[in-house]
Amino acid sequence: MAYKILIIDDDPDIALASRLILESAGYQVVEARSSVEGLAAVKSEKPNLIILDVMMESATAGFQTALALRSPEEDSEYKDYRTIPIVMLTAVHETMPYRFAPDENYLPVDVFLDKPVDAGKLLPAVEKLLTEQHA
Amino acid sequence: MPDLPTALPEAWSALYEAAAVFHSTLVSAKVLESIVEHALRAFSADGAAVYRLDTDGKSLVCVATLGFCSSTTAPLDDIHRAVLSGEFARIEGSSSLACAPLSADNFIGMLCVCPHTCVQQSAEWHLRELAEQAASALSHALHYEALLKSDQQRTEFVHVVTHELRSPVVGAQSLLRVLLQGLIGELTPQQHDILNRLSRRMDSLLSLINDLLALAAARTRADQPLERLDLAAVARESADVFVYDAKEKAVALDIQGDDQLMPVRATHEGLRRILDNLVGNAVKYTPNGGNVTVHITRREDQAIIQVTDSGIGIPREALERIGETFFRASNAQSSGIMGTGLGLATVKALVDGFDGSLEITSEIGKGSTFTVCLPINGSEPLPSP
Repeated sequence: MAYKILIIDDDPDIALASRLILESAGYQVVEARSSVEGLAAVKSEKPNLIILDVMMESATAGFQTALALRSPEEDSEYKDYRTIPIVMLTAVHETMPYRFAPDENYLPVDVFLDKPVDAGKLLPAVEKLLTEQHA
Repeated sequence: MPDLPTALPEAWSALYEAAAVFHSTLVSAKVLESIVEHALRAFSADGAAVYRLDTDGKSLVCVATLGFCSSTTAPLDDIHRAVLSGEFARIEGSSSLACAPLSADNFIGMLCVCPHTCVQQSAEWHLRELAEQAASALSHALHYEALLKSDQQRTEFVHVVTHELRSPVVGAQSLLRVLLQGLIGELTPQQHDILNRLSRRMDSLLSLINDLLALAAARTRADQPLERLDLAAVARESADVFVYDAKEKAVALDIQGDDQLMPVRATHEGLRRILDNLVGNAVKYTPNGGNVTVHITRREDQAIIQVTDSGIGIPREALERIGETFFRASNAQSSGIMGTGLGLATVKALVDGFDGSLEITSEIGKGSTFTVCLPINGSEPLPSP
């Protein structure tokens, strides 16, 4: 069965480009247009991997989503989903002067990829994370 | 003309001390606090307060007080008007009050004290002088706060522009690449050619936006605290990024230098941008089969990084203009190599911001050397990552 990938991105063009790239490689794709929709979709769709945008409802919405998903709290409502690999798509990673994470060395995602989305970078990253996850 | 105080040396030394305290901070709230505290003590007063003329010019607002403040705002009366126009006022009533004008280009108001006893003439001189020092310190603090605010607004603007300008371009570029990579069907050669041209234009636009934003960020550092960083480690990080580009052109990219620690004070992003620009340019302007060397060394209290290439070189007449916004040397323009003329302007702004220097030597057809010197920051080890 094809792996299911959830794209959480408020930019419909980026989401479409990512979808077309992933579908060309045989993945099943579902989309969410905000972090709120995205968190709900994590529960309802139970994806194998998440592609996450940074700036959505707020400048750091994507990071907050990732932090919620990866929360180490025992009673976290997302505790069943905290091991889902996350690829963060960003055009702002390098220019953001402030830290998002609770501690500066901790990043709640597995891979950062710069936009524009490129099949040559996205597919190997996705494939590597899924292989590691299901090894 | 008020009488000079009889205890001249004491009065002068008290004033000197007050001025030093008032000017010891650039936070206006703290300056105000120290003004009323000092006035209270200096006049053994029951109360001291600073009033500021409201923006409507019709009332006085109490902005700092100790011991008394009859009301937070008061409508202007004749005595207030006299003080605001520069006169000293002594009001003898159930409790005596002395007010001196506080006047700076960005603060009009008055300093009032409520002493135990009648205000002596000598105290008029003291209060006036105190008010003058207070006004000058307040003025500096208010100017500084206004500068900080405008710098902050500029930084926020840059962040918003970063997102708003880049988003449509990266969206369009992402979709173009999907088409060009044939992910949704084969293209005719002509379609491919047209889309390729569009994609290249998008790349140029994106690098222009990125370079403009990098330059704006380099010149706006209000919210980016400097850290202690190892220049050699950051240089290695940067060189790693260009290994692939160098390999593609068969350019030998070497990092040389001893392994000693080179702690400098900078932002990680800024330091990376300096090195990425210098190493990236060196690889970009060096013909196939050439050499690029990144040499890291320490000379006394300076960390020195030299990026040397065997590239096209920079004409002598262009050397002094390198670093000007949008300037590209004639041979760089005619080389067909893409560039915006903003990279070295950014490097220069960043190096200046880190109290360093940039030096360029070059020979046409032989190559260039870019030397960045940054002050070494301490000798103790860096905190482990």
